[in-house]
Amino acid sequence: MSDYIPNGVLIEILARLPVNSLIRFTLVCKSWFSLITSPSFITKHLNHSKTNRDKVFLRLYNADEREEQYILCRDDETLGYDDSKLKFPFELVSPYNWIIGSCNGLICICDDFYNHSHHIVIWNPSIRQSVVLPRIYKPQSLYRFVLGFGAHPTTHEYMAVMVVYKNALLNQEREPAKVEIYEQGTGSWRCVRSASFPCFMLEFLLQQAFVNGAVHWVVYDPVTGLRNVVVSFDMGAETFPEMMLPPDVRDQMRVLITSFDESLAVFMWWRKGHRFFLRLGDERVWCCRILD
Amino acid sequence: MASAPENEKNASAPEKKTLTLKSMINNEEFVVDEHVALQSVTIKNMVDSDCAGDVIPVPTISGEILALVIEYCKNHANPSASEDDLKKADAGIVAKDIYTLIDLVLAANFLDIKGLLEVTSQKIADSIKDLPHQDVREIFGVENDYTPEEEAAVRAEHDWAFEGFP
Repeated sequence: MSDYIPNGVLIEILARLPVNSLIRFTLVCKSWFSLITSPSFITKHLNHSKTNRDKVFLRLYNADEREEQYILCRDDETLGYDDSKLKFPFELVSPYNWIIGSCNGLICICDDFYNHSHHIVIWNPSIRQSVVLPRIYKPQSLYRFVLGFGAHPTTHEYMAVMVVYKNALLNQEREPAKVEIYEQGTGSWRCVRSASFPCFMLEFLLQQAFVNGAVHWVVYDPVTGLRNVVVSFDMGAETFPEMMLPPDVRDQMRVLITSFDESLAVFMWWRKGHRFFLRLGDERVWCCRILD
Repeated sequence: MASAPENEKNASAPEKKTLTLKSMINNEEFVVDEHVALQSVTIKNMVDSDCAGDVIPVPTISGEILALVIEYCKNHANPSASEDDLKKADAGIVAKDIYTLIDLVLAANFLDIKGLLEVTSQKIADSIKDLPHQDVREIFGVENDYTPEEEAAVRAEHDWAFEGFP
C-alpha cells in the first residue's frame, strides 16, 4: 500500500470514485488491485453509492430502431443523459426483455415472454459484465416459471429464485409449485426442500419486489380467483412467509408490487391519481399515500 | 431592566477556555477556543483523560494544514451557520492542490474529524477521477509492481474503461 497513506484513508477516497475510475486504478499497483476488488471494499463502495445516488437506470424501447435501450439518467426533473447509452451484452430472442429485478447494482433480465426461450441473464452494467444462468427447463416444455431476484441477507451473494408450475395446472387446482434457487457461490440451481411454496399462483410477467432480504409477489388463489395475499421468499431462511394485502387493493387485477425507499410498496391505478400503499419494515403496517 | 441580568451574567462569566495547538513540524502555535478544538475526537480524548497540557503538540501536521483544520472547526462550531454557509465554507477550504488535500485528509484522519475527512476525501476523489492511473501512482507515491505483461492482461479485461487513456 502507499507508504504514507493509511489504508482507512485510502478506502475513504476510493469509495467515492466512479466505477470506471476504479477499474483503471486497479493498475496503480497490485495492492490497489486487491483492495478495489475485495468484497469488503465493494460493499463499502456500494453503500456509499446507495446513499449518494444521483442517477437512475432507465429502459426505453426505441420503435424506429426496434430495440431496447438502457440509459443512465440524472435523477431530477430533466432526466437528462449524456452519451451513457449502455450496451446490453446479449442478443436475446425476444425484442422485449423482462426485467425481473435489480439488487446491489445488478439487473436480472429474462427474455421468456411466451415460454419460447428461457434465457436468464444477470448483468452488472457498471463493469459491463454479465452471467447467463444455466437452463434447467427446456423452452416450450410442460413447465412455466416465475422468477425473483435478490441477495442473501448476510453473505450478500446474489440469488435468483424460480417458482415452477406445470403448464397443465395453471388456473385449475391448488398444487404447491416447485422452487429452485440459483446462488452466486455455486453458480448452479438447487431445489428448495426446506419449505413448500404455498398453494397460490403467481402471475406471469408481473413484478416482484426484493425488500428486507426477501422477494415478494402478489399471488392469487387458482380455485376461487381471490387475490389478497403477498407471498415472499426469504433468501436467508428459505421460507415462504405470507401477508395480507391492504383491504383497498384486495381482489384488484392491476396491483403492482415494488420497493420504495427500502420498504415494500403496492400500488394500483385509481380513477383519480394512483393509490399507493407502503408497508414499513418494522411497523408491520400498510399506510396509504395518494400520488397526484 | 430587561438587560440587567444579561450584563451581570456577562460580567461574571468565566473566561472562555482555550487550548494551544502546536505544529511539531514548524513549531507554529494556534490558540483555539476549547469547544472548537474538541471537534477533533483525538484532542477530546486527550482532554477527557487529562493528557492535555497547556500546549498540545500535534506531530506530522504543518502549521499551514493546521490552520485549515482550525478554520474548518471554527466554521462548524458556529451555531448560527446555515447548512448552505457551511457547504460554501467547506468548498473554500478544500479548493487546494492535490498534495495539500492529501496532507489535509491525513490531518483529518489523525485528529479524527469525520466531517473534514469526508469532505476532503470527496474533493480528492473528484480531482483524481479523470486522471490516468500513472498520474495517480505518482500522487500517492506508489511503486508500480506490475510487469508489462500483467499490466496488459488487467487492461485487456476492461479495455473499454481505458478508452482515451494512456
